[in-house]
Amino acid sequence: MLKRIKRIWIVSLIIIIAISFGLSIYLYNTPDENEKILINWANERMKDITYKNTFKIQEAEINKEKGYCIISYHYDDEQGENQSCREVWKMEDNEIKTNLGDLGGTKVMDLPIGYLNYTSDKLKEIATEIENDSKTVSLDSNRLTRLLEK
Amino acid sequence: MKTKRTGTILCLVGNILNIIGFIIFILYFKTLGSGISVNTEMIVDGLIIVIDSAIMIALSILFLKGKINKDLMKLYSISMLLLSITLFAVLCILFLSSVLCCYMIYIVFPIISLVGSIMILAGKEKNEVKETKKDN
Repeated sequence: MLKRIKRIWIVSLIIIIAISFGLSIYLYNTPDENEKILINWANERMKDITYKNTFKIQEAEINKEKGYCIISYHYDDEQGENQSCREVWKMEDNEIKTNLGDLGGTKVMDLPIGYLNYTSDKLKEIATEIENDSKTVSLDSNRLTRLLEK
Repeated sequence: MKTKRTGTILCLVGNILNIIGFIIFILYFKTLGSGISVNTEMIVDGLIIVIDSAIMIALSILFLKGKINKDLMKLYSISMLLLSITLFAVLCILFLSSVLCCYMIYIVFPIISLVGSIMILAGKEKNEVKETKKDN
């Protein structure tokens, strides 16, 4: 009886420890669905950036239901100057597709037909709406930076 | 036996605080809005921590009530140490992954538990030393 208890105890202990470590390390290394969307976007965005190692995401908020994403990021341009952006992006089919404009800047975006009504005021309105929506998911920038570097 | 008992009490306190701490921690992130959203990793790691802590609490209570057979004492000591190390490691991975350094204070509870489990193992060794001295 004692031998049986010992055996069950040891097997349970091994299973618990293996599951604990396994799950923890798996989650540490694996991006979730929202993080995957943002990583795909970041990889696309980085293609236009000369110094890729300077690209850092500071904040990212995704609202899949409304189809918008607000991303704050910075990078060094070709002249080595730091560029900081806080942009609103439109999502389509679980992908971040169209840049609607920078919330802080005055740069006029070259928007495709159908997106012309996204004026600066309209963007700020959307940003406030997204930030206050309970269904908006804000992503962890530490995790994103780490997963992007891989 | 006294060291073993003290160690078990330390483990018990550390793990109860661990569970309470983690519930407050998740609630804080989820409801008060601290700028960090609760992601899958935080929830799953939290569950792992709570389950491991609950197992350690159950084992500690069994020991304090004298329900653990003498032949199972060694297994009990090793189990407590391994579970404490697992708990500490999972929490370190979680903090390394996403949580801000200012919440590192939360790591104190697993450290209490780890110290307790080392005391449990040390207590066992002292008893064995005493027994061998008596034999001589």
